[in-house]
Amino acid sequence: MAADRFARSRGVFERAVRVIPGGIYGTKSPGFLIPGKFPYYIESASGSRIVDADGNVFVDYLCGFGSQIVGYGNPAVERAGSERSARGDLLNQPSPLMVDLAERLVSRIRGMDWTVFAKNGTDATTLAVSLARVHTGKRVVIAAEGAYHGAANWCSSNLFPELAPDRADVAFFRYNDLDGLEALFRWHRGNVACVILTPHHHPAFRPQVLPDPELYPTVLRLCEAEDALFVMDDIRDGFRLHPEGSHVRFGAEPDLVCVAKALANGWPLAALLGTERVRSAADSFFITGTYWMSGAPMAAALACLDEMDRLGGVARMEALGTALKEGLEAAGREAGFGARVSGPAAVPFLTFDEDPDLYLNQRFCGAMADRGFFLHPHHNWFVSLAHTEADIAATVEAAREVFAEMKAGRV
Amino acid sequence: MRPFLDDLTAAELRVLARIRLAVTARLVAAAASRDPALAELSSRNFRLTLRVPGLPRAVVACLEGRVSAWAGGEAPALRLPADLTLLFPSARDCCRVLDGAPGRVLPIPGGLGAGRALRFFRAAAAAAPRILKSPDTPPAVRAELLLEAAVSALIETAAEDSYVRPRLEHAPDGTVVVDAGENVRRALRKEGTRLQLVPMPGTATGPGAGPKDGVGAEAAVRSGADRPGEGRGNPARTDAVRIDAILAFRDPAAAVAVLSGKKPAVTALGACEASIRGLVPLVQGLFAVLDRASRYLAVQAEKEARHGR
Repeated sequence: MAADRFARSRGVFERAVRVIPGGIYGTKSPGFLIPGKFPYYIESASGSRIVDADGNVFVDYLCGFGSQIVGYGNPAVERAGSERSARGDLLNQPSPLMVDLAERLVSRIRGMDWTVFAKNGTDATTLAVSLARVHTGKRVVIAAEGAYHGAANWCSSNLFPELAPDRADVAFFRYNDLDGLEALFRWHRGNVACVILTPHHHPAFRPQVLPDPELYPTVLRLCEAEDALFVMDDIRDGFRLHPEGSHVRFGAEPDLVCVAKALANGWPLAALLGTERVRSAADSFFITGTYWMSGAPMAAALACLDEMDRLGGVARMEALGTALKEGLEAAGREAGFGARVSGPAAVPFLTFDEDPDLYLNQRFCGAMADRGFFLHPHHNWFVSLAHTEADIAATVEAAREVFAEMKAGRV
Repeated sequence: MRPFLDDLTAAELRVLARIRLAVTARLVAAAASRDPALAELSSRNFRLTLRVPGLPRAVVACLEGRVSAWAGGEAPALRLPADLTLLFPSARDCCRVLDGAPGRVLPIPGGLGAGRALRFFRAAAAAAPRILKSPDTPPAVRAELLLEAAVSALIETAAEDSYVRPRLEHAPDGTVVVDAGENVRRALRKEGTRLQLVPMPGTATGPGAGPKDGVGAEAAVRSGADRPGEGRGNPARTDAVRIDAILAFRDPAAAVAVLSGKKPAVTALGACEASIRGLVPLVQGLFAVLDRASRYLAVQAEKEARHGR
């Protein structure tokens, strides 16, 4: 019974609600998953497996919301981070590692000339938008509807009237609607500081969308004409779509690039990279945070970059993701479902053509969780370098059983 | 929002007055079938209007022994003359009187049923809270009354309170079924910032009517209507009204806790006392309104009330 399966998780949650608003807040809230089908608390993890508070084991396709790229507890990354931590992590001044990592990133992420470090993706996107405003002397930020750029007030879903001034100068267009984007630029002519986009569109609760071939050329043209900046929010896709930055995969030419999540395989680290053009704004901007220059995550990041390359990098994740996509779609078709995997192969998400309300997603992902596969019903998934061909095959086989049970009405 | 009437802004007072009008009208109508004395008082037809200048009126009508309520500007009955109008000169008076505090209310007779309407209203207004509080009231009955009140409060809050508008606009449109357990259900349609009651899929009756006659949303889900080849994936697609999401409570007690604002919905979800199926963001949009409506419902007419006056 599901209720017994997560007894400890639910017990901890009952304690949590007394001392933590909502028990678990934000994207980890049980309500974002399917309560009763997924664990609330994870106790440990290794490679592609997570073990929840009740001892249930899952093959994990959420990967710490994308932060795990070379596998949970990757020995090389953990060793590097732990050794640095043992010698001192958060110090008065940064360790020399900071420069090592900055050099690595600047040489790796195509088109970028400098970098600064922070902790969360929100830090990086918010800093990028601030720098764009300072650099251009303008206020308006253009973003795609439904895109996630973090939890700061300028971009979050905390739509409280008291916070409205924080997002007053953020304008939205429908993703890939080039005419709509042009119209926004016309409407805000002379006031646009930047466009911020994720490499591909990955809204929650909806199928993912790849960029129209004309999207990035249009963005470049409009930004040049307006003297606005283009910010690539590569936090979720980073290092899974192209080793030199996801913008390279789509031929985009951003002025600023935000990375986090996979950068240090789960060690807390974000980075904002920029072109020479924006350096003076960054030079003059007060950028700081108590933990932003701690050394251990930087050591972990350096090791993580090495591990990504050693383990096969983007090409391997692409191959694994393609096998998963093709296997799931075929299994769905066999049972008569319009199961469709959208997005890049390494950042997939399954939806059902016949069910935009996601009832089928919930049934499918809930039944997969029963079988030990953590596939989020409402948020895109991630493939990592710790996944194996055997993991993918087992996932597809389980999916085939689940589709058959769904067809028979047993799930 | 401040917890006392005297501290509310004029805009908040308007919202609260709309909520009080709607909740009162719907509760007295719902109480009619739960109390034998009320059944006797509703044996003959009458039409009662509750009115605050500048706000949509609420109507309670008894026709052939069946008492129904409308509020927020809905309903065909609004075009018909009222036997009795209870006119509250201001939103503040409305909020005070309907909370049991002193305030101005002008009874304006308009038809032969004025006396019957007034007697019924007085009795029903006293009976509804008594039924809600009585330990003898079955949980399902309490849940039904509270669901009635909560849905009314949601609709009126969404219609009048600018505070919730951005969050409601952000949520997708669609129809959500709130299932309080024990066959107590309501279907709400959200379009833009507007919420309205719609018939439960499978019923031919009007808004707010006959939830027990409806096709259970969960039952529809479980019926396998979303099997391939038997529909289009969404159980509601086989009905006239498409159900985009289902907020289901484990039992009436769980529903009561959330709908009365005593337990946050996110906590109930985590405790598996409630579940959401289908279009989750649609229900999340309703939660934003529910949070706000709960604050309005908790407003007290007088500060002394806090001390148990």
